[in-house]
Amino acid sequence: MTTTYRSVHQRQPRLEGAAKVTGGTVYTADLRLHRMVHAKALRAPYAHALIKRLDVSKARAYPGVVGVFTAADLPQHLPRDGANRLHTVLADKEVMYYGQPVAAVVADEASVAEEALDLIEVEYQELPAVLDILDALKQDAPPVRHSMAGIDRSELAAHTTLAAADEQTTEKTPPNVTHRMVWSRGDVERAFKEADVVVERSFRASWTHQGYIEPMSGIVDCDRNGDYTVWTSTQGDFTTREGLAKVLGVPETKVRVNFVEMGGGFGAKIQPFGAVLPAIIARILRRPVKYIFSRSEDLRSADPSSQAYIETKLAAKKDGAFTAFKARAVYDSGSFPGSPLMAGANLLGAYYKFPNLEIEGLEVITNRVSQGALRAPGTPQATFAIESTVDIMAKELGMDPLELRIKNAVTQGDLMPNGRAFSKIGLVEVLQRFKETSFWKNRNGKPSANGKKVGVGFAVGGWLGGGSPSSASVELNADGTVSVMVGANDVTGTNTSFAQIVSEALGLPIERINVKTGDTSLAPYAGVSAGSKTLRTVGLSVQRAAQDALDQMFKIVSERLECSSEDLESVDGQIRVKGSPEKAITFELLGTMSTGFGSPTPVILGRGNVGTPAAAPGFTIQGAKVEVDPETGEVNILDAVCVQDVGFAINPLSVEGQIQGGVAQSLGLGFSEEMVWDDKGVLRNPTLLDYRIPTALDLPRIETALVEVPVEGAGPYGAKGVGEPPIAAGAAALVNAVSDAVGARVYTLPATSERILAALGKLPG
Amino acid sequence: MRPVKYLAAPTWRDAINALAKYPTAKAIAGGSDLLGWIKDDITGAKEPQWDILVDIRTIKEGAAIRFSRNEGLRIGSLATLTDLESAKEVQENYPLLASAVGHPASPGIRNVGTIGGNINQRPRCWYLRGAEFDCYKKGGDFCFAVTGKNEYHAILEGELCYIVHPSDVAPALLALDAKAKILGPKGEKTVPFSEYFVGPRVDVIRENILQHDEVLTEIQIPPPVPSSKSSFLKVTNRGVYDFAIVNIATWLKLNNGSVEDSRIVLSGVAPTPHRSTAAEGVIKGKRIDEALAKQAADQALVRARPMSDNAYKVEIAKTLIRRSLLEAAGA
Repeated sequence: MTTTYRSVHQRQPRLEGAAKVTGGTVYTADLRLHRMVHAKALRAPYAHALIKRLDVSKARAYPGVVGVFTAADLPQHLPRDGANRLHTVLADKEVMYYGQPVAAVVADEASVAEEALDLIEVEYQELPAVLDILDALKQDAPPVRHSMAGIDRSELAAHTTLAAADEQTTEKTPPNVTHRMVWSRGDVERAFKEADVVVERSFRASWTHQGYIEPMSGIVDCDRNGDYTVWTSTQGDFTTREGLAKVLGVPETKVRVNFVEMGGGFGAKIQPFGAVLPAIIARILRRPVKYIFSRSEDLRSADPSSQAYIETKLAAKKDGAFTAFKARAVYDSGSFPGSPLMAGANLLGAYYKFPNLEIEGLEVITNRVSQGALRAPGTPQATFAIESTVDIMAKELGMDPLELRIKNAVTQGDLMPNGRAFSKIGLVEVLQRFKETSFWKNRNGKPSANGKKVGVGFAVGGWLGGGSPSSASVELNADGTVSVMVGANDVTGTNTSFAQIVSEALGLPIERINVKTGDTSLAPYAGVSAGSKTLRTVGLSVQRAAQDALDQMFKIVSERLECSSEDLESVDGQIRVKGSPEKAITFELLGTMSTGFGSPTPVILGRGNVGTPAAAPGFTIQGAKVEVDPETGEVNILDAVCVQDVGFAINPLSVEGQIQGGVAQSLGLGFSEEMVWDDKGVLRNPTLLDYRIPTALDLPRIETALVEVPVEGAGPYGAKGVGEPPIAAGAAALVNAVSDAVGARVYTLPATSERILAALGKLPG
Repeated sequence: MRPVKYLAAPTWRDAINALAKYPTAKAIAGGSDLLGWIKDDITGAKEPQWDILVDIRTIKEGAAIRFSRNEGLRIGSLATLTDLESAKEVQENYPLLASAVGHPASPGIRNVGTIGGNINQRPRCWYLRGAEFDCYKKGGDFCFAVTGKNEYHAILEGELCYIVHPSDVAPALLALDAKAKILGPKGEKTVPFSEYFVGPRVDVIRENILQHDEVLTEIQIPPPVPSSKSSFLKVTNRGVYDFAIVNIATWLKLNNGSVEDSRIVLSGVAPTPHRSTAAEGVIKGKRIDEALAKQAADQALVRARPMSDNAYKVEIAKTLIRRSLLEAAGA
């Protein structure tokens, strides 16, 4: 493609970046309102217990305390069936996870609220806790919660309409199994019999935390009319409005959510966990209530990513053609259903052509905090299982692991496990491009030395991406600048990319374009910034709105200059006649005309709105080169790469940064990140000291290579979702590299020193 | 965090007077351990809620570093780890100490963290540090690591309590035969670091001999020994902000290539810095080579009693002893 672009496809530094890195950006915790009070939650010290007695009288009497609330003090109209985590604001008689809020203290100062928490007396009766994912599958396991009647299984059922077979849970279902599904095609058993090589393994991936910098936080005010105003760290202002309205039992328009910059979410901030409690209390007190999680509270009581147990069985012919794949995937959802089972189980069998396939998926609940999304939810776990299995298969076949993947990679028309066919995808292109990376060319660059072993591994990853309707407006101001308004929360630099799209469409320098995310009472609707969809959905609306504004300007100019709209072009802030640049009207003049007192010219206001665009799955291959110390189990990551099909990079700088961030996160899942609950279900590492997110010293330079297989209509210029694919495969690549280095394989994520030494047979037992 | 009262101590004497006066007072220097401890609300029958902070950074000369050929090194306990890492006297005469003080936490924390604080910091045991667990160290009657998650706990000398000593600096001080100068109401005393740390068998509540109203004012290291060699190694899960899974400070005095004297000290393996006299016995009078180093390492861990999740630390400890001996001996 030889099209040249003025603004898109150019490396554009983030427009809000300087304020963020210099400390100028205002976050929820920075805000103070008149008459504001502070809420703090008392959190349960047990994973499973009955609340026998709860006495808050001393806390209520403490100087500076404005109110103390338990489940019994919350308005009776609130839904409290325990079916939904959002509705379970404070534990009602039963505690289902360690860290669950039991009571809330509101005081003039946060420190006073914290002091008063100590004065609350609670008597618990400890109940058996179910923690291990395999224990949770057992028929005779104690129930994770007393009443299972309240469990809402509809959310999962809604995803399974295309399942070849979907068994509803029945009386015979073990008490903590909340969903079971089976996808199958062909005859796997026969294929296994006829195969030349069969590989069968099982894998575990641990619970992990999204690791965002800004903890959950919210401020909610409620006025005399019962109108709520919200400031909260969220990925979606409109979804926050929707979620809060549902919990509060009010129409959505009674809730106004202001845009505040968010310090990272990675999926955790889809649900408004920071805003529900202050909203309910604000309604009671008629005062603004601020609720900020400490780091420890966030690690204990937010919505981390679930553990999974996955069994795989892969069959191939001698020539490397995969003939069958059978798997059983169990995802732990924590104390409420809603795990990424469907996404994970689907991608488990979606990277390769499998003529025969059978995937059983199970969701279980355990006595842990409920899980939430983490960037391509469910996928790193599934990818670890399939991509380890494929590596083992390559070894068994004596084939090059990259060639084996290329031979079996899915292309347009191939079926996913869920029965849907792939649209145009770029997996094979990505695999071919991998061979041209510096990573690949230098893979044999450093020999093993000092007893340390160097190895190279890689893995395929992907994400199907989500979608939702969206809208945007583009307005010309009197001074010739343009205001773009969207309802999408800028999580990843999307507002910068929107400015590039408008700049491209209008021929206006980016400095004169101002993109703002409006509050929900003013902004055009957009869905939550999740599912790798913001740029491709809202970006299409922005592109249309810019085109609409341009059409309106062309109409005015063509009348003024007495020419046809087709003869006009927009260049460098003016609209001019093609071939006669002296015949031009500037944006400033148009802006003055369209806003002037008494002017007959209408305001230039472009509108763009689209439904969910075509799907655009994004695929990657990720590579890691590691140096392993086989005597200590230490892993030093020497090099990493991610090749990704992005469709079309609106802002390559931003895209590469996002990919590097995803790779960093995926390597953390690979070697260091793990939430550790003890035998009683108490989280033992609720600090960033003991929950180890990799630092700059742990990570190598991360090479990125963009492949562009645009899909018409999927996003502006054919752009695809970028955010999620790069976390999918890094952990699997790292484990494959460790295996290449030391010849032993780790079957549980993360690959810690201990697990590597155990894999090498160096530990007793 | 609960409210605390702040008192500035202009002299060491003022500091111990304040500590003697208030049973819930604690001396604070860099605060990188103590503030986290208070914020995490770690209290119990034997662990009061510290609500008075006696600032000792205000003490003049408390951070002085002095070196003389005759007397050796005198380090004010308020010297930061960065002060020591960048001090020429330390780099030139005590490479083992210079290496050890460069290992804790991160440069930012080493800029505020003092050597006294590093020596006296509390263990990182995630049961001790969890407000929910009333363990022996807080006055309770259980060690939760025994039945719970113990991948970072003791493999040697655990008894009642299975914490590991967290310091990177302490093993180096033992290896260098350093002494602690302690000031209390009854005056000053000097105690070798080999008698400074206290295991659970002696007193499960504390990790060292300091009484509530005593302070560590100075660290004294004897003059450098000619023909001595040393090595410091540390294994962690992460490149920065991490305590040792195992660390080791090795000091050797060689005579014609044979080991005349040695001190081999590990942290991260036992409730106190663990001097491995067993390993020292193996190498005494001998020339260090691969086989001898391995023999010393095996001997050092003969009495290891790993728990359910921490057998890997035995392997790592052996590896570090072997490597450390070979590195120090230049073999």
